[in-house]
Amino acid sequence: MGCPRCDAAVQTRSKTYTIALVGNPNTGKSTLINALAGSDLSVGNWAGTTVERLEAELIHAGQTLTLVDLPGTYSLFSTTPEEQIARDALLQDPPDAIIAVLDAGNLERNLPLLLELLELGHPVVVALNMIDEAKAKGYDIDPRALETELGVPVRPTVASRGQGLEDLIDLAMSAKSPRPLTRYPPAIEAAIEALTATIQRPEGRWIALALLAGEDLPTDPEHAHQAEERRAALLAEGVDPFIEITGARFGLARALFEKTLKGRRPVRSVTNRIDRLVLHPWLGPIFFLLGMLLVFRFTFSLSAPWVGFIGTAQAVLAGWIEALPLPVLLASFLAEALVGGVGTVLAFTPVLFFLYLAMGFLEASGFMARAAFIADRLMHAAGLPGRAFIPMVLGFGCNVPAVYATRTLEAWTDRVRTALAIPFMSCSARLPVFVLFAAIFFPQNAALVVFGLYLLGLAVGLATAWLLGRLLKADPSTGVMELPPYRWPRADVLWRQAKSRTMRFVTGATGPILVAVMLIWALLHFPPGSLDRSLYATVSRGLGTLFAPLGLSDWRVVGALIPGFVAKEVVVGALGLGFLGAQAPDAVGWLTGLATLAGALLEAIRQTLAALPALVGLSLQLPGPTVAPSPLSASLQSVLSPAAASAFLVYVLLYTPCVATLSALRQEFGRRWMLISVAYQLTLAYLLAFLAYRILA
Amino acid sequence: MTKQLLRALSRPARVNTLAERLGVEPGTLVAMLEVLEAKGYVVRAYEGSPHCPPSCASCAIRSLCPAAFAPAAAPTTWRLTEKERRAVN
Repeated sequence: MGCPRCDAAVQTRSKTYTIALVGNPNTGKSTLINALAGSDLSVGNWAGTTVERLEAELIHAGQTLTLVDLPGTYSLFSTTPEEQIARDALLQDPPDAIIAVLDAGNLERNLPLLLELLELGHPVVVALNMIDEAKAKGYDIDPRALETELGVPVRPTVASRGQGLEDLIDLAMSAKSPRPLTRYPPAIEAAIEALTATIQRPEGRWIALALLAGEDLPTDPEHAHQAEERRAALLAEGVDPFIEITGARFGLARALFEKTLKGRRPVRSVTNRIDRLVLHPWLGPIFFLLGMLLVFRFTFSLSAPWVGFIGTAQAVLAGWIEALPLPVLLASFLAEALVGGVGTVLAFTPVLFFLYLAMGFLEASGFMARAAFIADRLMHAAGLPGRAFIPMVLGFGCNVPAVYATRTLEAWTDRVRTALAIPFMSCSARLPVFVLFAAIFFPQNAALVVFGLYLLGLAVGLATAWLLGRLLKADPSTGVMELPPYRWPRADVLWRQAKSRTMRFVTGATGPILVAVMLIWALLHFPPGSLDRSLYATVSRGLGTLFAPLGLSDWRVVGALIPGFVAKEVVVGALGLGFLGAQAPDAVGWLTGLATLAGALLEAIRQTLAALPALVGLSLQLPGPTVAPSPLSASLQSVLSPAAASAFLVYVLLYTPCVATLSALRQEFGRRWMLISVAYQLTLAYLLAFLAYRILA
Repeated sequence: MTKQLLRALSRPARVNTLAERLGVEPGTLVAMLEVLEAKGYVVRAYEGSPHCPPSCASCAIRSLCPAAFAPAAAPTTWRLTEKERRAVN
């Protein structure tokens, strides 16, 4: 849609009157110039750049007219190449008039640039664009009031529909030089006055302000030198010109916005209303804990039937292997090492799948970002660096990248104390151990027990960081966070994401687990004969004395902690090998095995459907007992009391997570801190496990 | 107003609540933060951060990781630079 009073372009360029369109990005400047120029628009580049330049030449009321769309900018104190182009175009090739295009729906944010334009001294007219969208957002803006306050013409426009454009060019061509509205502290005003007298240009006031603020302008070196001297003097007096100048502009923008707005600011969005509760200083942490508890309930309730199904599949597979005419050693390796060891670990993939599904929901819905905010506040309250929360929270996924993520912290003391706290965050590799033991020994409260372990890890980590902060005398620091709105995630996306993450865990973990399990299997069968007399049993028994005060005297339980030092994923596999390896499986026929599998599958589906109501609180009882493969469950119950099982869980939670984490600690902080970390973790794990055993026994 | 904002950054806050406290629109507050960021008064935390080892591929909360460059990045957080923090304190 063209400007009604504009004629077709003509070739002559004599007495061309230039109007520049200036505004923040996304205010509709390009739409506006399109609407004004119609087919006369030409597209090129700004000299020496790839930034697009929109321009139109028109005849308006007998006058040749050039409209130029300057790149979107938030300020003439430029920070990007596009902003620099806009600034230079206004300073080096000043237009005859400016159409300042403001987004009416973001008026307060747009006003500081307009205030700068008024300081530049060129005639200005305001296109208060997208006024329809502003109304839809709930802003009732009074253009007349804005015009009165600014002292320049203001036209409400909807450029996309050509509304309000009729007299815009006339207004621009008849506009007078505006008066600057922003007033600065006396020291700054005095400096501006002195510099403006020297600069002697229409844009003098703005140039003086920019030089005082420390802007690098293409200007007379003498002016720049004088400004630098005055700036240095102000800084020496404790007046930061940049802070004062921007503060005054934003302050005036707020005042103008309030005078222009009819009625109140728009009512809060749904996100804000929910956030009032979720981010409340006291209620927020409670919601956070409830949310995490729900995650664990969801994970347990829905994964338990499938862990049970995989346990049955393991037994059938071992039975089929037993029925095959294979050499004894090969059959033992296949049934014990592969099915018993690797299989026991992989049996817990449903737990990880449902955990990933629940965490994916929290991430995509925006709740996880809120959790990060709450954690930030928690860190601050504990005297910790607020930004440490991301590496700490990442530790719940995997400790290794979390240690590397401490690089985002500036102070070395903050880095090292956060890194030493990270190993206490329970990574997903520890989850199968927690799930197995919680289901066997605390079947009625399995989810609560696992949740409690996560909280214990967090508490120990925070206490560690706090303690180190006291020792190393670190200062806390924090900031402001922009949170995304709440969204309802798409189920298919969550499903695909959880599936992909679980497959990555399976493919990534299978190799190391297989190697570790094969090594343990070999040590269990060396020298050949009874497992009780193997090298693995002898070493484990030797450590048994050390762990006896924790109630852990069985060599197979203690032995599982040794490969756990290398990687926590192997602990369950080592338990499976140690306990199930001693029991020769019964041979199973093909048809019997298939029938067992089919029955187990139907049972898993039935239990999953039955578990769904538990998620919404219709049943507080979790189907915990089936979560552990039953032969292993019976074996563990025969050698451990619930108190000893608790001590084992606490020890697994707190002792050295894996060699990969140690390697990361060594790489980032050196061997000394790595060794301190190992010694600290082993000591603390032992002491707290001992305490847990004594209290519960 | 900018000085008020810099002082407010010494405590954890959300953009919306801090904007309410300062009496400005959230968009205006973000604009102020971006201006201060461009001039080195505040920094955007968790950007330009480190390696992401392959082992984190299965991490359940990978999208929060500054190193993962996941599409759903960590929430944008602005903090005072060390120099400015000392000045404010």
